[in-house]
Amino acid sequence: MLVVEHLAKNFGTLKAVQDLSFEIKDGEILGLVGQNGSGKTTTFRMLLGLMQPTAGKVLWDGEKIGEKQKDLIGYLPEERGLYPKETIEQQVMYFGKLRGKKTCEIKEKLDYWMEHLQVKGNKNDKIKSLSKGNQQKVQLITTLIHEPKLVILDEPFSGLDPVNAQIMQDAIIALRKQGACVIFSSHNMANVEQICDRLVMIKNGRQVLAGKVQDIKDSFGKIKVFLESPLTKAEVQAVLGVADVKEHRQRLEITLSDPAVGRKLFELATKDGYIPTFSQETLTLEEIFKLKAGEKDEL
Amino acid sequence: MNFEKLWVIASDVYRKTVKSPSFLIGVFMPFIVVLVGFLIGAIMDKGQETTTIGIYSKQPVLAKALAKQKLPALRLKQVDSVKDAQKQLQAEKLDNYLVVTKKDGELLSTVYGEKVPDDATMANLQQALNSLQTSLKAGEYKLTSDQVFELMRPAKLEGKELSFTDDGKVKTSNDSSGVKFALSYAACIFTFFLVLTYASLIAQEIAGEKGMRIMEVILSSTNAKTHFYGKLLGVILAALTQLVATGFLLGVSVFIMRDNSSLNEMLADINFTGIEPSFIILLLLFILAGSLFYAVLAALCGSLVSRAEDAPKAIMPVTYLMMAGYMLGLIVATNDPSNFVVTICSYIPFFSMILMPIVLANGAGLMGASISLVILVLSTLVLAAFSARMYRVNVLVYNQKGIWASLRQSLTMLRKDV
Repeated sequence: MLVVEHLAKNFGTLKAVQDLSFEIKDGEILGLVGQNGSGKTTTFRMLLGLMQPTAGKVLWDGEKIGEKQKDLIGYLPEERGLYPKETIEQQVMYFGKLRGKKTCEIKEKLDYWMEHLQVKGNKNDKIKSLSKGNQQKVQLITTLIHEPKLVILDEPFSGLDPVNAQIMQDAIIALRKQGACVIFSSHNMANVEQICDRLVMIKNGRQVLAGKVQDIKDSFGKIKVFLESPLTKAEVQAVLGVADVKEHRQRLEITLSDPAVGRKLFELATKDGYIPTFSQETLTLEEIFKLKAGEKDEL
Repeated sequence: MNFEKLWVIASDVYRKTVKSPSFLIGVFMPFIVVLVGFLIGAIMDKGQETTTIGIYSKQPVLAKALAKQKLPALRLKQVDSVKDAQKQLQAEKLDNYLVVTKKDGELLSTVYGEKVPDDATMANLQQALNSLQTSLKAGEYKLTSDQVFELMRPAKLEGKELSFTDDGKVKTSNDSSGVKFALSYAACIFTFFLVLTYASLIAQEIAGEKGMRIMEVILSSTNAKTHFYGKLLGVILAALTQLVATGFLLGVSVFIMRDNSSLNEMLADINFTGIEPSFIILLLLFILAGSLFYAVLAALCGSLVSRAEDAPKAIMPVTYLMMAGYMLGLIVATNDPSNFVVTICSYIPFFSMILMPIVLANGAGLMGASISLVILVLSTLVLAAFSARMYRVNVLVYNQKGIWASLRQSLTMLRKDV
């Protein structure tokens, strides 16, 4: 189990990360979301022990992360990099051995992963001869070859086509089954919504949201209404408690400032009987993200 | 420090380095140079034509005796008359002809031809005539062949080195300064190329790993110190391999060429007896410690930049320092080994690995060399310890403003203990 307590990091006067706290139980996936420059990579570097926090602590099974724990970590950096002149096997072997594995253990596992992730190519192919997608798969193999207990993935879905993104998603879900703690950052809220158990959102280094995905969604309440009725945009806007109305053809997308307003809106819309659509929903994670980030254009 | 992981990193660097083209070129370069020199020599030998010289004398015995002598690149042929000689000269069967007369027991000779033969041919002819005259005189004085040999034996002249032991006694030894000088010169060039090769290799590798973010993965597997020392160990092992491989190939080629007369002549000329084992050991230690010193510097510089392409720029200061030592060694120290600047610099770590062997070959004491070596080794250790600390911070600094800005940023971070 990973426990992060009041983690903070300052670079001079810049407060990169402030008072960040969360925990990941074994077999749980945590999504770390936030805009560019919000402090995700700095957080990962502190989790990895690459940087010392200014304050707070990171504990793995109750102990500080030191040399002993490093063999348990699997890390996929945001910018992808492998030695272009090395073969797949040399590459995986090197990273595997650095995590304390033996040659024979790695060989066995490599065959499994090559097949499992459908890497096109031979173990003796040089990295530079592989396609970008296959290079990314090889890098994922180097991250997982030693069966890590704490897996840290920085933007694992960036640059993947839909097929490879699905393979990545399956691999992450498989890690949960094996009982690993997984933490990943992503810009893609759909991925986060589908596979995360918990979510932490940071903005300018501060934690603005934390908890189970469903709890977070519920905490905002059902403030979204999709409506298809004789009511016009202006009529809806005039209702007290309606924050925003957008018009998509006949359908109105209404944001409420209070979920209770939904009932009033329903009665108003159905006063003449049948209407095709009335749907009151929670916000999607993407909407919550945009709402919290405050800047809708940068996603 | 985790020694298992240290070894994983060292062997990976070693494998990559030994397989790199620059390593192979480094190993074979001395032989390629010698081989090319040998081939050029052979081509020049082939190109040289034999000069044919006709010999005429009123006393055919003289001409016959002379024609019997074997001389390099020269064929002597007895002719019957001056007219005959001229005819053959015209027909280009002869290059020159020589008329030998004997007057008052002395040989008087003149060479004729369209062109007077070159200096080497004249010297050869002179020698042939000298020995003929000597044997004629010996016959006149009724000397035995032993007596002739005694007469002809040249006087001996040799050089001895004087050195003073601590208790004021004088020790003499055979002159070996030439060989020592050649060895130190070779060591100087070898170190220079070794450093240039490995400095750029190690800097490139580290900058590349940093640029591709491989560094972050490695440092999440093990600590920066282990990585830094592992890299150095790998490079040093590669340098040692190159040293051994070069030595081995040298041995093999001497073995193969052992029947080659010119090599034997060359080896016989070299006075190996005056070279103390301590000189050789010091030389090797300077090569190794010097390479290590510069490898540490190169690794430090390489860790300051963020891309492999910037590595050559980053090690520029290292290259210039090395170049300065090299120039000082080959130009100043060669002509004036006791030069004040050279003496000072032969104790400074940046230059001592180049200068001290040359100064040592010119008769400096072992004491000075040992002190210089200790200074070099100690400063390498200090530099390595400092670099390992810097390295941890450097590899996470991605400063685009150049290496000095990166260095400043790293130092600030180091002080604040990030």
